[in-house]
Amino acid sequence: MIPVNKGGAALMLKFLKKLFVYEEPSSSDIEMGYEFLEGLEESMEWGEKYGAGKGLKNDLKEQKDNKKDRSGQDEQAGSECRADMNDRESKHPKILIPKPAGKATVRKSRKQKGNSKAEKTETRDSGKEDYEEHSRKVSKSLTENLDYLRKVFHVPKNQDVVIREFNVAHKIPACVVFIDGMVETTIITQFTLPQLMDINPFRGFEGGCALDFIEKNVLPVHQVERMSNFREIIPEILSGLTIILIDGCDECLAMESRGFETRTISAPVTETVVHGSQEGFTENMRTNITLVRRIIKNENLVTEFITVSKANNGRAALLYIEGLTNPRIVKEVKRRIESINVKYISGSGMLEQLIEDKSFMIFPQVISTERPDRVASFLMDGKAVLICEGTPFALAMPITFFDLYHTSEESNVRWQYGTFMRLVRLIGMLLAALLPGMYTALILFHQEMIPTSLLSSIVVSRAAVPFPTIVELLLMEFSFELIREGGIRVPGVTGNTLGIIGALILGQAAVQAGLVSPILIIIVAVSGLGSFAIPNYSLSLGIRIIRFFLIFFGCIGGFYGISAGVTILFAMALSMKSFGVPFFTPVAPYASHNTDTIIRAPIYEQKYKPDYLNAGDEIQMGDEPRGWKAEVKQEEQ
Amino acid sequence: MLKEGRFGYKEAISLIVISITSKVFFTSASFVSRLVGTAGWYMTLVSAAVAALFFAFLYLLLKRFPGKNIMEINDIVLGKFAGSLLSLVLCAFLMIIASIDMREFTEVLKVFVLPESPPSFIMVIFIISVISLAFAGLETLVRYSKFLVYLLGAGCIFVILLSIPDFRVYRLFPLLGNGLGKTIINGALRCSFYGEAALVGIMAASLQGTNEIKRIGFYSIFISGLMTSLCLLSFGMVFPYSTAQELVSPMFAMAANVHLGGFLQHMEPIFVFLWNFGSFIEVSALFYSAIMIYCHVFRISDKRPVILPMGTLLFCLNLFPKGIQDVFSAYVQTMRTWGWVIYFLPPVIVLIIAVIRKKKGAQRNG
Repeated sequence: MIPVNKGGAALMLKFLKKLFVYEEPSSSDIEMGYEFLEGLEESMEWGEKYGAGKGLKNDLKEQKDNKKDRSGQDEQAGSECRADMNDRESKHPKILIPKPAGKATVRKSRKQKGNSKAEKTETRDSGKEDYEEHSRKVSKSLTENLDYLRKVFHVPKNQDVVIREFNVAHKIPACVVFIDGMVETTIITQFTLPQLMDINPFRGFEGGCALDFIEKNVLPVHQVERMSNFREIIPEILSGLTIILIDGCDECLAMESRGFETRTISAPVTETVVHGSQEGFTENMRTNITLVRRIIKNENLVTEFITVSKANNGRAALLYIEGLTNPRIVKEVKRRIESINVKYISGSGMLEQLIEDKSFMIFPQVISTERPDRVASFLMDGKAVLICEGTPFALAMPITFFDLYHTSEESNVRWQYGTFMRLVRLIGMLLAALLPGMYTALILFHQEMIPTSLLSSIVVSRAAVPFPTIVELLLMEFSFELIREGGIRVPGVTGNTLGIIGALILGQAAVQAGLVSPILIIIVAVSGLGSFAIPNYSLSLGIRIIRFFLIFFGCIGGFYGISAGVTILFAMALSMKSFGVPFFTPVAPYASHNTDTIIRAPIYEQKYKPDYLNAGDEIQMGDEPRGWKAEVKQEEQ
Repeated sequence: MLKEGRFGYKEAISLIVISITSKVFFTSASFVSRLVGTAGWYMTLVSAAVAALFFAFLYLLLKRFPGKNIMEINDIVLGKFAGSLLSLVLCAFLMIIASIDMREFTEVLKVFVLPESPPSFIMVIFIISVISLAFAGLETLVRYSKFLVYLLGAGCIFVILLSIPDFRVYRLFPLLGNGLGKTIINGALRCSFYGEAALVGIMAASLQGTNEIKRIGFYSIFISGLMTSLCLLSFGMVFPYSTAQELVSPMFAMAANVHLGGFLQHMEPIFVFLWNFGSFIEVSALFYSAIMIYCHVFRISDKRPVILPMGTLLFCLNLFPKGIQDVFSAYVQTMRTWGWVIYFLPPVIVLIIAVIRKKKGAQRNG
């Protein structure tokens, strides 16, 4: 029996319902321009899809009801509601820790809960994890605390959690807890245990809880924090901090001791440039933040840490410039992340998919970059940036199409060269998307429109080919995609070799065998080169898919079909928004901007930050960016 | 739920200009030659002037009711029943115009580009594009127009420039064509060529104030008049008017005539794209406007459920004309000659009634 993908079917049904089923409107107000936050309806939908459990949905429903009651009030009220909700969430963050559930518990819970579909999803088989809210306080009894930690971390079964018991100053029972491999052991062996076990540092100690004395007089460690709740303590242990628990104290010390192995900083792999920085992000979030801070030495650069996934306590750092980045963008990013209810997020790629506006759209709505200098530039424009643990990419938002088309190289070379590179890239992008489709349309439908000399060349080259044009084209396109995919997956130098040799041999052999015409090889190669010129990997993948879409339309309707295909694509792309900003801003809709969209004007002409970001300070440079020019003019006068 | 949103004057002008000028690529140009001979290029300026005059009445009406669209104004001035009835007539008219323009496009495309494809196949692809744009909403439609207006304008001027070697100025003589009186009367009657300017009234609530409305309406008519006149002038100089009368699409024929050297010949591909994009936008604008009116009359706030049935209706309306001759000589010309009765006359009547009954937007709101 063929398994039915119920999730996919439900998604499709929901999509169709959204398209065709009438919904009671909540407001007939027409908003002015575009807004960073979506309307309440979209918020509801977002909350239902990703919202952190029922609480968020209820809050949103409440908002909706309130809005109906207060029909005269504007969108501002809705965003205030959301802000309140965010405040509530941030005041009472929910840290969930795994708790194994046995079969009996699950059966019991099933009986109690009944058989509804929603309740079924809550239950788990034996061996799978169940989650409960956890807010236990640190006890004064060290034994109780240790028992609890052993239970939580499954000690002694779990062997990489180290619980080292000792006596402070030979008297007070204490212990340090850390995860082996996550910490810099010299901090513990040289700067923690010797100091704590020695009597001499405790000469002035007058009894009672020793934590305060230790924090101020004994530990020569740069970052120590007092904590009293296991809800805060457990994620810190998991992220590489060392915890010091002392008998008789209802608090503990969390000591900075992270020291795991990381990859060293190397050149970016997917965004190489000739002129410009050769540093790329690594998998270590701290290193990545440092790379950005090294470029933006500004006290207003704020880093907020947000837990993005509950099971692996995955964290992301939200970076923005206080006073410059629009607070509504920051609030919206936080709102979306905090409402995510996904147990495991491995990095920025997954997070990107969970916070983007429309997941069915072909173009990315958040830009992913592995270049610190690009991130710095985004931040200085007024965008918000997310850096996740575990992936060497940062996410910037909101974005427009033109951000995906730009690279950092243009800013590092003179404007003439930058403009030239952009035009080459734009032509490459158009060729990548349109050329194979246009060729199909010309050959199948519009032979009379081809200039005579070109037509004769095409006819001669195609004379020996036994396949119809469309089969011939799809064969070559598929082979090209295969070479490209194979080239990426094959390890090391062999991958590049496979790409070049594969393309050369396959192309030449196919022509010699009479399977494809030489002109088709040129078409496929040029469109392939065009797609390599696209600087953003996600956009490049999108254009590759669009190419097949347009080949189909070119095949069924010639130029007319391609026009229809382009219209459908534009209908989708122009209705897209990234965190409320239309995708083709500042061209459609128009917004005031520097001449840095398709061509790049001289740097001193780019006086303003992008208007659509509504940044706190829109001025990028002074009235006379090149002061020395003004001085020369004055001297001449 | 689809929202109309708000958009600027550049976007609105782009939409109206494309909707008006794309008609010149079809059969109207040859019919104008039949009517007024060599005077077509300035007859269209007469049409534009008359359309601008009618638009002034529409503007006065919209100014009297700031922030309201024409359907709301009809309701206020004529009462809910009569107002809705008048709006429904406009809705039906727009659907008919959309279907005729679409059928005209289908027939011309079949003649020149896809001779072996059945018309229904061409229509299905067309309907899919129109429905996609309608699902994306009015904001997307105007943005798409803004995106394409420069490309379409550049393409049109490119074809005209490449045709300069074929220009023969003497073909414009006699300058007065079939007579000045005939030119002026036909020009005035055919002001519905610029009827799409009346769509401004339907989307008035999405525009930013009455001053914008004035600017959009008059600029659109002015730019469209210039472009149409330029196209008619160019093809008037390329073909003798006796030949032009026989051509199904003189502009297409002009593009096909381009022959500069061994390679720069057959400029039809550029023209086919101009045709396609222009027609998609034109029909989508009319179709979406009809949906807006329908949803207003029946108090439907979410337009999405209406789009597919209306699309099916548009497809069915397309099948009414019996054949190519029926479309060109009967439907298209009747609508071009008498379309102003529905496009422009009702706002004038409503304005007069509003003045007589002393109805004003501010009074109602206050």
